[in-house]
Amino acid sequence: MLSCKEATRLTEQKIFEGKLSRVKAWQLSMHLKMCDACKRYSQQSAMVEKAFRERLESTGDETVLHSEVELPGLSPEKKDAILKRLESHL
Amino acid sequence: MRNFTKFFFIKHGQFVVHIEDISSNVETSKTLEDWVKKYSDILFRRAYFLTSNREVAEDIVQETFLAAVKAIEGFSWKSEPKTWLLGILSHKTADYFRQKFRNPEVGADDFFTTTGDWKGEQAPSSDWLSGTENLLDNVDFQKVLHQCLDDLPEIWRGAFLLKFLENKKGPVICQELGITQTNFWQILHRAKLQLRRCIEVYWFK
Repeated sequence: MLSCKEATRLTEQKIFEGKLSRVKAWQLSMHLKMCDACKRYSQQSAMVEKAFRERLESTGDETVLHSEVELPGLSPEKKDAILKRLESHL
Repeated sequence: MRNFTKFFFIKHGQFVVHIEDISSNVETSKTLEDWVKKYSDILFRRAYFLTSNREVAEDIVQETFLAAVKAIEGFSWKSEPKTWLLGILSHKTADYFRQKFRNPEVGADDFFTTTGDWKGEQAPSSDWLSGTENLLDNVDFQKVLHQCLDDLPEIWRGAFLLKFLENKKGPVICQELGITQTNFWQILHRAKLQLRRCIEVYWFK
């Protein structure tokens, strides 16, 4: 029987790799059937993953209104500095 | 093979990258200045979301453009410059996180007892009522995501984000980082436990 620590670690491995070996997958599913806390963890961990992925993707979308938690954009000074650096590389 | 000839020349004080596609005789030109003007805010926002550090994010944007100049021959003019630049930015950010992995520290276990059971209040004890479906339009929820990512030690953050950046499998990431898979899973596990807990505390309670 897996401990909760091992079960949640396997949950992460499954989310990360997309799959587990047959034995590990079986051990995990047995644990989740019996443990409410780890079952919740596995659902919520997947939600956390999805939330961050979508948030990350939205940072590349100019149609998304960006909130004040982010800086508005790159400072004009830094833009100028980058242009100068680019000149020297051409 | 497409045959590109590349000229750089100065025009009205602007630096122009001029690409001539000899095979199709299609002439395309783009100014780098335009790219910096058009895409640097988006690149910066993404870098800042990933690193929570203004200086680091600025440097990553700069490195992205420098790498873009060097690699411009590999750019297919049929694709979106933004997508291409964001791809370079992902690699540059991954490089940054990889550098931080030289001496990973995992630290004490706040979540589990020595026998591997949940420590009291750390166990997920309540269901999250609403899904994340509409939460992403919610400014307050975005703040929570940023805050929780911000609270993660840099190495943990790297373990969590590297997969998003380059879509690589665990063993490849570990090899590049020069750490064992056990160590990597331990860090990723801890990062995720903390993120979940942080979101629960600040949002769902």
